[in-house]
Amino acid sequence: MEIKFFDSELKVMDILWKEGDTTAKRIAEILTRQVGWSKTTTYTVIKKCIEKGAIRRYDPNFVCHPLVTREQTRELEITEFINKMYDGAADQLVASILGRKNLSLEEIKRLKEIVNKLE
Amino acid sequence: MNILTMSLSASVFILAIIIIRALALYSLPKMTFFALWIVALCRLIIPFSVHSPFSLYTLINMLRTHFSTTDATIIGMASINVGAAVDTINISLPKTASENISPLIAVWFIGFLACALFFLITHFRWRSEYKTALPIDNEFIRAWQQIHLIRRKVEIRQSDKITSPLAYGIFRPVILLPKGTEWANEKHLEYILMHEYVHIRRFDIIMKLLLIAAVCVHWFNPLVWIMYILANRDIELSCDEAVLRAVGGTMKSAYALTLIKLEEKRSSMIPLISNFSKNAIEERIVSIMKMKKITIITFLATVLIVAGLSTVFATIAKNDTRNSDRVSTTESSTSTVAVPSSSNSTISPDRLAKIEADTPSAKPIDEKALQEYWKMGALNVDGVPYLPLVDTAKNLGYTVNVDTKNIDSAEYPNTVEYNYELVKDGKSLGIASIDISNGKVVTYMIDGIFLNTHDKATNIILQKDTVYMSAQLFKEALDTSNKLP
Repeated sequence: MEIKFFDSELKVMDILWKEGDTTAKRIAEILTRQVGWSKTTTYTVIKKCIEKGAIRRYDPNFVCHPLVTREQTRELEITEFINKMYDGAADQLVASILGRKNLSLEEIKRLKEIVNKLE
Repeated sequence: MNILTMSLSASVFILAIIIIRALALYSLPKMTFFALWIVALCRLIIPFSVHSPFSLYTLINMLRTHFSTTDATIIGMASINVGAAVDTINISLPKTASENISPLIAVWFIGFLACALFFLITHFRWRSEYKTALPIDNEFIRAWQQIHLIRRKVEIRQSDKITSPLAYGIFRPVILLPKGTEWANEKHLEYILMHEYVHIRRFDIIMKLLLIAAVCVHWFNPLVWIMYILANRDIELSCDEAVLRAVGGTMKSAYALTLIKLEEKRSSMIPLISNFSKNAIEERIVSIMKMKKITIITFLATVLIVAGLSTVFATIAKNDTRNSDRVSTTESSTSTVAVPSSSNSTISPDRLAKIEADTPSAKPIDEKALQEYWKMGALNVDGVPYLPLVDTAKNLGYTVNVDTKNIDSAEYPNTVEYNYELVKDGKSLGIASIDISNGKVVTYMIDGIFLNTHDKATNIILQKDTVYMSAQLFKEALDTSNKLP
């Protein structure tokens, strides 16, 4: 499923991806603490996500269940990014990432492992 | 004062501002226009009152006569004695107003509602979008917030739903920055934040709200829409001016480049950027680059222009309120004690002929319009004003009650007031009144509106904004007075 999210919607999805099914009330509490939203604002964003088909609502207690995974969303964003910046060539993106100066040794090691695994 | 009067008198002012703005946009401090728009806004919004259809028609009448009798000499206000007529009118007015809501008022109200709804819905939709903005984790911004403290706490957030920086909120102001802001470019950030900060500190949002209110009320007036656009631009221009004064004039080009950069981003996201906003950004850049230090001369010019224009404008306003002044005169003179005295009004044939020559002839009118005309006092058709005729009224089955009263004053001795009341089925529909002092007509009043004030000499001199009374009613009145014992 291909759903594009605004940053605000990603905040809500993030909670669902991390914590699994969560009540709207709980999401509002977390986001008030995290980004200072009012309960109404959070509910508006949840409603948007439901309209987009990214969340299913279960009653009672308005439990929110994510209908897309974080991986699906990442996949979509990355594909779009590769198409936009690397003419669809994923290897060049990897080269870019490896060429980044501010990568830690730890990160480079992990990336190399992934590349080796895929070969 | 009703909306149309307010709109028209303010239009003259708006037009004057537009002309001055076109001539001296780059040579005057932008505060000049900002101040002028505030005066225009006050004019458009205060006093805010929705009047009955009664006064709207009166206004149209007044305007038409105004244009057809511009050469008429203006004479001083004569004191007016109306007596009991006023009471009758006050009672009959609300009835007549609710019975016949003018289509003009209805159209105005629909337009007003449509405009107000449009702005409200847009406002609340965007507002809920802004609310979903996210906090920014940026060292520079945190430091900036520490320096720029005002009584209200200013929040700074980011959103991926906007393309250019903005500030919103009156009591809890928030500066919103687009997601794509160059966070590392501190000069760029500082200019943007300063600009929004000046908006917040000056409560520009209230000015914007008032502009919207003016546009909603005066939606039918294209000049008010032009004012809305130009004033919104001038808010930005004078804000830029304040920012540059704060950061120092040498930063002009750096600041202008920041603006251009923002505009580039915006136009790359919105494909259809209109010529109009291109024009606006050009105006802004040129304004910034041409900004000069405020010297004594420019300061004086500003004060002179604002004070001068506003004064000229206030004079117009005073003329416009003359009508209401007259009504208040009426009310205060209601208490005049009527002292009975004999009146021997004699009118020479010459004078009557003169009156007829000076007074546009009456036209026949239909029954449906009669009541309305009577209530309105008079009607203009193609600039020719006339009154419902007593005869016509009688022929159409109305009763016309004539009531006389002696009202003397020091200024107008031997004054008799004749009240003509239009009655149908026992219900009073309105009153026309004429006061004759020593055989000369002093004043008329039709259903609460004073139509005319005559001088004490032989000639009838009509006042500006005056509606004539028909020759026939004139004669009628005089004949009646002649028949009196």
